[in-house]
Amino acid sequence: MTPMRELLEPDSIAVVGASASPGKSGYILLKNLIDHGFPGRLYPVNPSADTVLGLRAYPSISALPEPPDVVFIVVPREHVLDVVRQCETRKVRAVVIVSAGFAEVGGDGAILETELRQVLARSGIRAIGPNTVGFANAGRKLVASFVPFPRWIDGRVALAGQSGLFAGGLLHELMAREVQSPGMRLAVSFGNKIDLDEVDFLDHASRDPEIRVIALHLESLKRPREFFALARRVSPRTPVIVLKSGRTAAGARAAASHTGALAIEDRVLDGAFRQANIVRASNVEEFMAFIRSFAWAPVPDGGRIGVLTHSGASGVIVADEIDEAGLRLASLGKTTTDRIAALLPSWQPVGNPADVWTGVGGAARRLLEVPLMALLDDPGVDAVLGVLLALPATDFAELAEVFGEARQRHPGKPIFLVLYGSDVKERWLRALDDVKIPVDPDTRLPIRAIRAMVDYDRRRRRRSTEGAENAEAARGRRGR
Amino acid sequence: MLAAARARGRRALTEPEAKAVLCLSGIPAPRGCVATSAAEAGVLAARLTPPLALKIVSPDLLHKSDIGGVELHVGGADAEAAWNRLANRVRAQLPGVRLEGILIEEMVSGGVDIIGSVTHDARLGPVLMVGLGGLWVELLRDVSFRLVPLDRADVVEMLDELKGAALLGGLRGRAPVDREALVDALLALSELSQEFEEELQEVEINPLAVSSHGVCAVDAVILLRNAT
Repeated sequence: MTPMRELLEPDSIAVVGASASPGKSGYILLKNLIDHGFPGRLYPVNPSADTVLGLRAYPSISALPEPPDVVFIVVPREHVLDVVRQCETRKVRAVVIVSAGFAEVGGDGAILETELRQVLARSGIRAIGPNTVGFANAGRKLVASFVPFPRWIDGRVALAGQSGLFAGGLLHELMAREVQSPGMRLAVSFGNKIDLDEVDFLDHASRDPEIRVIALHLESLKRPREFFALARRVSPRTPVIVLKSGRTAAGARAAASHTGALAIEDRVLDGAFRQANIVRASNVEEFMAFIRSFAWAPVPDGGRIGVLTHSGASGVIVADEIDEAGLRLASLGKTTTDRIAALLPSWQPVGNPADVWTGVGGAARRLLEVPLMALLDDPGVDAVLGVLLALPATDFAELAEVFGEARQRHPGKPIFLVLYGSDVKERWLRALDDVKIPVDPDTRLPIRAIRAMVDYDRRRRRRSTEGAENAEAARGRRGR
Repeated sequence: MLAAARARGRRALTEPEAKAVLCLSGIPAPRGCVATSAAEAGVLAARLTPPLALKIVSPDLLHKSDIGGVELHVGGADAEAAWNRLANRVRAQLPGVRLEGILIEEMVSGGVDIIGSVTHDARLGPVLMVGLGGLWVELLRDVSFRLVPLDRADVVEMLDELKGAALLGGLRGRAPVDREALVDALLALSELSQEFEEELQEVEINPLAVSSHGVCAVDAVILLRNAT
């Protein structure tokens, strides 16, 4: 049992600081656990209540009928050490310290955290936190956080966050979305990383065959050397996407005061990320877009893009952006252009971007299906980007069918969409969700996603072919 | 070689010592020898092909050119006189300096200057940095970083990342450089830093001259980690 598994797969959980007052962290945490159907045994610990949320409450850890596998600690910071000592006596194996006010606030908090670290180390108890919003393990129906989640969408992504509220905020938004949400198999907030950290997370997530994308938001790296060495081994199989903040001097200072950790020069980190073939997102938007893209779309064989658009003007903008991203507009074969030309007035030239504006107002299935399939069928096209108006008079069942079939016929070619429109856009998105087509509000995001995928694939392939044999040849050349 | 690298209490190796370490790792340095007297300089110079470079060897001096500790484009016949000039100049400027001798080397011309260095970072371990020498690095900060250990594919990628990468392919009539030799040298540097991680704080080759004929470590500095 790896340490992370102990924490993420408990059969029994105690919440110290469970509260009967709605709105309090100790209440929401317990409510989430109950509402999302945690099948194990739950023990609220609260000396001033007999029951909390219908469950029998206990006055202390020592009063529990059995030692719980994991203890969540949601008490003011001055009581945390005491609770941990009780856990030690009861031989609890893992704790999640939700309480804040430790190293992240400096001063007394930092001193307290040092003491806490010593107690934990001595006791052998594994810990997440302090200052964590908790975690969720969809495979175990386990949502343990004080951020209210009316629902949790399972998926193929594992997400690790560092800073408490940000990780919670990000997840909350993702889970609140009706559409375009990649779904999380696993989400962990590490807070101050007093014990378990991103290396443990990466190790654990990489072993789970259900997890197809690993994403991390990092402000600091606790064990950078191990992290990069491990990521290098993991990334060929599972893409690892990182949002690392604190890249500028100002950001680094902010990060240092926030996490109490020393910064590494960002250019050096950047080199290390490339070396490990980690996909680096520049900002939150990109981070979310990359996660969704890697989770839903196949990695293309190359960077030749076929563009389908309802607007010639959009086509020009996209052409610029594709060029700036170091990608190419695909050269279309004659069969492809002939097929598209058959739909358009004879006086309209066909090229790439393929402008199918005559489809607007008609919304006939053919006007979308024919150019889409023509582009995908073209061997010179690696990926398709559609920049479309969400047409009102659309048969949505047909829409899902068209894209579903496109994906089936070309499982190795990603399709990205940018949709413009208002009222009907929601309905378009719902139909597209079923077939997992990433839709973005802006053309720059899918283009950057394609670029990230192309780089990831190129590095992955280069490494697998130029491996050991080259090293041997080089050694021979040096005459060793 | 290990004993030489572990000169206890010293912060750095001298240039000839550093070059010896590099040569043993498979990175060539210019032909040359240390002359401990003017007369010796004359004898050694006769065996080398001019133009020659004369450089002060002293455990106390890391930056020789700052105090005029270098003479370039010296002809074979002038070596003896140059030795005296150099020795006197340095002794005049820094009376207490320990002069082990003067390194007499063949000058390397043509080719592209590369900076290749490995620095030990407390958190990351040895970090390899590669850049095109001189202004490219100083002004434009055109450098690439990777962590040690690394492989061939990593080094190739580092070179491709440099904004001035085109220089390696040959510009303005110059022949393209021997990229394989360059990659070999950088890998050797990386392996050296890995093998002696405990002892080495920094190994900097600046410049590593790269041409179509191969590579040569024209100048090298090796800093040792503090004994704890």
